[in-house]
Amino acid sequence: MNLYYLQIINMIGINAIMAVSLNLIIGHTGQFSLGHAGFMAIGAYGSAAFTVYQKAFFLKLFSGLPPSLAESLLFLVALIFGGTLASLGGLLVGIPTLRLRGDYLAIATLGLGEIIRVLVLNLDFVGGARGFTDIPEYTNFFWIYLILTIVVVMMTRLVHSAKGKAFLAIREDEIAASSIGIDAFQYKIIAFVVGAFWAGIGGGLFAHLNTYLHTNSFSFLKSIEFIGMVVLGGMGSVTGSILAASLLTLLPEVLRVASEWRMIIYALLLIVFMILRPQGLLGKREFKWLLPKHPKGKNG
Amino acid sequence: MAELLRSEHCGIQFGGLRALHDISIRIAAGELLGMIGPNGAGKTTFFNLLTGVYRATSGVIFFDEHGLEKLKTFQISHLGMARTFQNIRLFADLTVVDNVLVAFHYQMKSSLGASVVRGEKWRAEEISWHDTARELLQFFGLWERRHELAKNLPYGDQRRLEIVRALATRPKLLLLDEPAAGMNPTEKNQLIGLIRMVHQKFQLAILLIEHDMSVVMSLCPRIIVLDYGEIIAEGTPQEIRNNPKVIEAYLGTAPVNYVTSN
Ligand SMILES: Nc1ncnc2c1ncn2[C@@H]1O[C@H](COP(=O)(O)OP(=O)(O)OP(=O)(O)O)[C@@H](O)[C@H]1O
Ligand SMILES: [Mg+2]
Repeated sequence: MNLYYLQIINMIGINAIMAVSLNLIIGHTGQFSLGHAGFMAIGAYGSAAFTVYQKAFFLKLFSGLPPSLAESLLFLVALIFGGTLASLGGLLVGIPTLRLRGDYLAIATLGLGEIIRVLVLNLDFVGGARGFTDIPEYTNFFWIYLILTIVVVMMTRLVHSAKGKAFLAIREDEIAASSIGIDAFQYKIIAFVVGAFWAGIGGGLFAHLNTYLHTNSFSFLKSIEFIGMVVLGGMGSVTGSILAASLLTLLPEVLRVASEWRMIIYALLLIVFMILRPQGLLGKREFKWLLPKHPKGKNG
Repeated sequence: MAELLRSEHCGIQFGGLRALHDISIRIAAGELLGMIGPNGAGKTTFFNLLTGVYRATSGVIFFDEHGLEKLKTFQISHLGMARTFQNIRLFADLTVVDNVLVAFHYQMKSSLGASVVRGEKWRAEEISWHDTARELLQFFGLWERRHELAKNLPYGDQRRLEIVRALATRPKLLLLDEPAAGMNPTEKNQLIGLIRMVHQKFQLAILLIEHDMSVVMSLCPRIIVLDYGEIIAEGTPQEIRNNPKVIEAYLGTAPVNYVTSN
């Protein structure tokens, strides 16, 4: 396949992972986070540092295996490492901020994203202001779409279960949710940590697709782009997030013909979309056939 | 009868406003207690104190022998207190059945992780909670509407669903905040029957806030009257009806026989 198209398809997958994981935080749990690009950055730099600095060690440790397999293992561990770092970041920001009301939370998470960026800029072993170069190219179509599938199955199973409905209840009405015995704070933390974990994995995939990282890729505008995907898809709709991530990744490419008018048309199209369908493309609905079934089926 | 709830000299202050002052109340297990009082008397505020939404600035509350002063709303629910809200607070964009299912939360054994892995045990438990939800909803005549979004229900059904959701937590004490508000006389009569039935079938205590005298008087053997944040009377419907302080609180200086003849 043409490399340009493959690159777009890969970016669609990564953006879909980002949107679906953010959807757990914003769409399902109703917590407005502006820090998703920050979590992505943690995962990207964390996993890239892991593969770059632990490669020799890994290849020696698994010298009995074929090198390609050993490298796949290295990549897998690096992804999980990056995801875990990101979820720790989520925990760290979440604990003090998730008790805050919505608008404060947004500002606090915005601050976090910027702090991470500045921090990375000053870390020399990940390239600092020059950018992080020579990251091995491990990410491919297979990895991206395998992980996207796992995320989608996990997120939908989570909220389509009696216990997981707690996330939705908190979004709908936190006081009422507390009144029936739901620890809203705990669930918000879980949403943050799980969402950040997959954002970190998304970052790891991005790092090993691009082979080069610069903090500019993770500015708060990036967070806003992810929020745009969740909102455009319909808050709380997993398949909607995927659809919107695809559209918003494709659109700038399609609009390349418009050259300097590109971003203006992009913005106008978004505005028109939201006027015509304020509830998002799918609202709160799903493409059901794409998702795992619940044991009670339709009679539940 | 065993004591279920006791508040001792409870008060709360909002800035300069003394919303509640020196409230001492006892509720026995299984009792049906009414609470009335003019607008702004502090009735809803009292519910918010009991459920931990607000903190008392003075006094203590015991529920089932637990002091509530340090507990959060969700922990108080775990002890067996459930409530409805004066302005309905359903999970508007969830279906009727989901509004009930989510209220089993504390009673569920499976972890959140189990709902991702979905083993046999999880499956069995999930199905059994769906069955429990169906029984409840059938009992309250809402099963046919199970797939509708809560926000699309008619007003009376929303009020009922809120009661069902509260009952799903298996409370020992149910707090109802003006369940008859906005209902016509027929609906009010049905509601009286419903509350009576709930009280018997679920073997719980009920504290009922209600503006509609006919509803409280016909349901509650004992009634407490609040005015300007204080208890001004307590007694049987008969005693309350004839209490001059109550009549004054409700009608200012209007003639006494206007109320007593009712
Ligand atoms: N969070 C708050 N901040 C400030 N004042 C409050 C707050 N909550 C209640 N109040 C005040 O406390 C007083 C009691 O209010 P409350 O809602 O408890 O009355 P109520 O008896 O339930 O009245 P109604 O019959 O109208 O529902 C009112 O003066 C109200 O304005
Ligand atoms: Mg009130």
